[in-house]
Amino acid sequence: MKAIISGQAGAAVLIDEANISAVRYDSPERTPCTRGEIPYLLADATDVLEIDVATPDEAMAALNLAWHQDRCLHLILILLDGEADDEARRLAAESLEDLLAEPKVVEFVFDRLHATPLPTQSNLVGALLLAESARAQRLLGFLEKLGTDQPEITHLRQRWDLLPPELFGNPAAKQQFGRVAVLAGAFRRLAQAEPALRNNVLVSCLSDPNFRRLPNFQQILLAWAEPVRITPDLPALELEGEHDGAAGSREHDGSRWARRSASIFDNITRQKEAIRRLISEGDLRRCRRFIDDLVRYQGERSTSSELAMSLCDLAMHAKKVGAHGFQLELARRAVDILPTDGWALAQLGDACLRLGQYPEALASYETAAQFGQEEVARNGRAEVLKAQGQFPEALEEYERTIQAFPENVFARNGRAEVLKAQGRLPEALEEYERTIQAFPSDVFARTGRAEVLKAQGRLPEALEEYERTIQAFPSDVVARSGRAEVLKAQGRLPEALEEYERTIQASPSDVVARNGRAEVLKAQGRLPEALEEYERTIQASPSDVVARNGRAEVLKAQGRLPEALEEYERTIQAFPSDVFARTGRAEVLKAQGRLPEALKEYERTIQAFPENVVARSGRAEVLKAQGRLPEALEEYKRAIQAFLSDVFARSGRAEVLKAQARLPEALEEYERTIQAFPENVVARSGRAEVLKAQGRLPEALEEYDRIMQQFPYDLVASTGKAAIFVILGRYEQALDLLPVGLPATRDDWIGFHIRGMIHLKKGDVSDAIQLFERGVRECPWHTQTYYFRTALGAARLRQEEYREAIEAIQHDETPVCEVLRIHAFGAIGDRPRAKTALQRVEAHQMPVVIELREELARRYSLREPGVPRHSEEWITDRECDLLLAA
Amino acid sequence: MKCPKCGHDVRDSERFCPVDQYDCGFPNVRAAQKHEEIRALEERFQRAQEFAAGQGCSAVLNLFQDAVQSSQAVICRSLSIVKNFVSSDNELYASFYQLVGMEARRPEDTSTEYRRLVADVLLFPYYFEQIRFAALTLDGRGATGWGDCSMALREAPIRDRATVFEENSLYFSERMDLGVNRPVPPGYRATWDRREKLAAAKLASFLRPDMTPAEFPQVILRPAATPRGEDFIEVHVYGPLHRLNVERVATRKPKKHDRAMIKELGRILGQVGAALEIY
Repeated sequence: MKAIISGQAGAAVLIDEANISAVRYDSPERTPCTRGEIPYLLADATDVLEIDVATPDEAMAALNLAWHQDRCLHLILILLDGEADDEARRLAAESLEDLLAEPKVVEFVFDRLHATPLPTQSNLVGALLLAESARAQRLLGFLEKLGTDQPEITHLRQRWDLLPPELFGNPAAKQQFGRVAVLAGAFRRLAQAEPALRNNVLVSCLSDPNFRRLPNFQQILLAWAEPVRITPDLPALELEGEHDGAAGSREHDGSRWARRSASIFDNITRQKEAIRRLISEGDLRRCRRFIDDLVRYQGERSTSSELAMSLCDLAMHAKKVGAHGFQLELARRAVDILPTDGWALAQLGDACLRLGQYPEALASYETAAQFGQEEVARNGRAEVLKAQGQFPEALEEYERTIQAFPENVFARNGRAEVLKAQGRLPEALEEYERTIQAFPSDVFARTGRAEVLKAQGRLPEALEEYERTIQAFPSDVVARSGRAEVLKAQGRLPEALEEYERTIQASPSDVVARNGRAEVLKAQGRLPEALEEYERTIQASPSDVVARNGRAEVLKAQGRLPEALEEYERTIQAFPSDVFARTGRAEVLKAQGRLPEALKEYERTIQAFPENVVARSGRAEVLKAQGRLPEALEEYKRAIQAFLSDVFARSGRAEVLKAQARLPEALEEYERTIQAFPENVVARSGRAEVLKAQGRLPEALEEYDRIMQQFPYDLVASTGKAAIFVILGRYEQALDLLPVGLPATRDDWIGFHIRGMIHLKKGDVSDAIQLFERGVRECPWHTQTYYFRTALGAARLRQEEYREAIEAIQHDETPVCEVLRIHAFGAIGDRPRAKTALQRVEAHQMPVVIELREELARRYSLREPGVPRHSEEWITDRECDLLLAA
Repeated sequence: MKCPKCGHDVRDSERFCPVDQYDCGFPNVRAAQKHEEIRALEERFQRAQEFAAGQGCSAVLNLFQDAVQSSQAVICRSLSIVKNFVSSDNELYASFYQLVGMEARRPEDTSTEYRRLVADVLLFPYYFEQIRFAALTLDGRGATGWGDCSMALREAPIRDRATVFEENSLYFSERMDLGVNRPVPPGYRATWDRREKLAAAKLASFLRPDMTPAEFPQVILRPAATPRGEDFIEVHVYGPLHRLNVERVATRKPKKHDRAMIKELGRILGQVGAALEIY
């Protein structure tokens, strides 16, 4: 009689000459069937066996065994699955204790589980704990053995994977051979055999008919198992399972104990690796389950100190990937386990520091010092003081630490960092140089020195320092990213990109390099690629807040302001202590013209992060946008006083002075800034803008030319230069500098506006109006729509559509708009309103404002009866120049 | 047929035009859309309507047809096979069950010859390997003689590539004694959107005037003690199935060693928006 059996289908077909019948696992009753029905009965089963049996009972026994084997494999996988339902795993543990009573079932499952190492998804530690709590001894033994065998399984699998397919003939043949090796138990037997007994396994495989029918089987088996062969001068082989009495047993017990300890260590290590991966992926829910299992498992098998250390290791990983909230959770757990562990307390302090919980951080460090971690605690305390902006106190703390612990390089670097934060760059540099001399192998001092040089604007020297560091520490990713940043600051964007790409190739998981690459792409205007890079980083490292903020910035640059806002809001929710997301959100609100909300966001941020200069400058910018110029100036003044080395506060102050038409003071501020930060393109563009406003066009052009030579990607300079060309009537040259295609980014819209101005100056007024109306309708940047409105106003004036001109600028109250109002109201004979507008710009110092003010006052006799000196055309032409120069 | 795009000949068994790879539609669907098939089915349908009218069952027949328009395709397999199917992207299963455990020992790999092949050659010449077999159901339960778990498929992903057939194609070919000189007669297959006509044509004689819709599931799929006795309308789906095709799984209350698997099955089905029913 023949039987076709499938454990998966739970069915068997018995073929006895003319009779065919089917049986199911859970019912011995035979039901007749036809040959044609066999594929239905066993459809999709991949374990079909055809055997010869003497009786139906024998077939039934074979079916039962096959079913138990299949079921056991399923249940083991459920038990090991870190994602599986807890109740399902518990039920699996109970069932497995019964199923594993049958040696053939154990062998079947082991054969398969020895084919490859457990994947990272698996939770062996959790499975062991469930087996313990179910008092399932057989299952416990099974799992422990599986854990113990993992290193050898990994080794065998690696050797297998390295075997070239040509040895087998082709990849499909290798796959087939592999299946045979699994089913014949070759993987299992080789992994489980003592080194001295592996030869026996090999010999057994070589004589196994299942292998013998495969081509080239001898060479394959010898190539695969070759390293486990023993050398000829070792003692005679023991048969599997034998031992030579007490001594042999003791030795055997000793090596078994050692293997068990190694197995526990391996289990813990593997569990921690899985947890690290889950932290990196941001899957904190599953992470916590794995951690609970680790704590229970390790808690019963090692000391509290070792367990606390495991949790601290994991906390450090969480810190590395930016998951500071989870870092805190893990550190707290470590301290709960061992409240007297100084290292755990220091970790807790660090986590609190990352989250801005400064009093808690200080308290933790204080306690850490009491429990033996004085050095770390002192450094930590200094870091907290620095984060709080208490720089003198932080400096003092570091200096005390250096005195007490002269070999503490962290304190020395920390001191240098505080000096840098205080803007005392020469002293910071000196400290780093001393540290490098005393500790030449400390890479942080070197990269720190390079950063100070960069902050000082000494970019070539900064580059040199990074390059020296890379030579000495070729794998240091910080130095490479630092080099790329300096290249970027120098405007050498292709080289910066290349450096980042090299770093990524060497270190694919380095998020700093990936984010850096995205930033360079953004600087090059390659916004879709920049977005793609950020999105890839976010997917790989969901807890990387820099990538999220970066993505929001690119969306903002693309004009996708609602999406940018959404990204920032999501980031704030996930990372409430991240200040960049908050200032980023405020910037987007400002770009959308939602100025009161932007102001509120900045004020909230300043309250939470008083040491953050970006929030202060941002607040000043919003005040400026609201026309509250004296308050803006005051805010910048405070920011400059508090943050001496901040270039943006200085440029911002210069901008406000320019907006107040205090042009000589604005120029002076820019020139001071350039002297302190010669490589800063913002200050240099600002200077060019002021020169333009002053009517010093050749000097402005010269400055723009210098900028464009060094920073060829800088669109502010190219559009600024284009505006000057338009004023000078050099329209073709202006067009060559402007972006082409439909506007999307902020610079695109600026270029679009300038195109409109070219039309207007050339007299193509309808084209100009069409363009300006589109700008008013579609430009997402609030500040840019202002320029389109005023341009529209000027265009209407040119058409002598005075009421339409007034309507276009009705909501704007800038000096430029007041000049246009003088013209419009004067033209329609509304002298009171024209006079009011005149009074508002009476004190304005900008040359073109003065020219127009005086001419219009004469034309419409707004002060005393007057006679115009210029034509209407002159007025409209100068109005265009005003718009381009302001 | 001719390729609608380039006009080249396309064989009945081919889906894509061999010249320009234009998608000419699923071969099983094209077969059911042939003029003679539609006409023959229509004739059977009209006869069924006349029969129903004569028995005073016209209203019941209409209700039956309406019900069949919401019928689903259901595949019955063992719990083990279903669990494996829905765990297709689980790393553990990929490592140990599917990859390694795939001994590729399927029924076809045994030495036993199968009568089935005759039906398949006649119905699906040269593309039998592409066809997945299911049954039509009104209550989510299938022909459990083939397996305890009934996997009801979502309609949308199969609508355009599924056809229905009068009954189990193996039994049909045996009953009709089909062979090389006796091809499959027309009128016994339909496209998915005309399945209610096939159902009416086949089953009108099983309806009673006092029958309620609650009894329709047992009309369309008549269970029996042996597999041979189970009668159903067979569904032929072209192409592979994915776990996301599953809308619900219905299975009997589990015994001891099945409880963990059922629990876990429920969790996985939930992840893909499918339901588990235990009856």
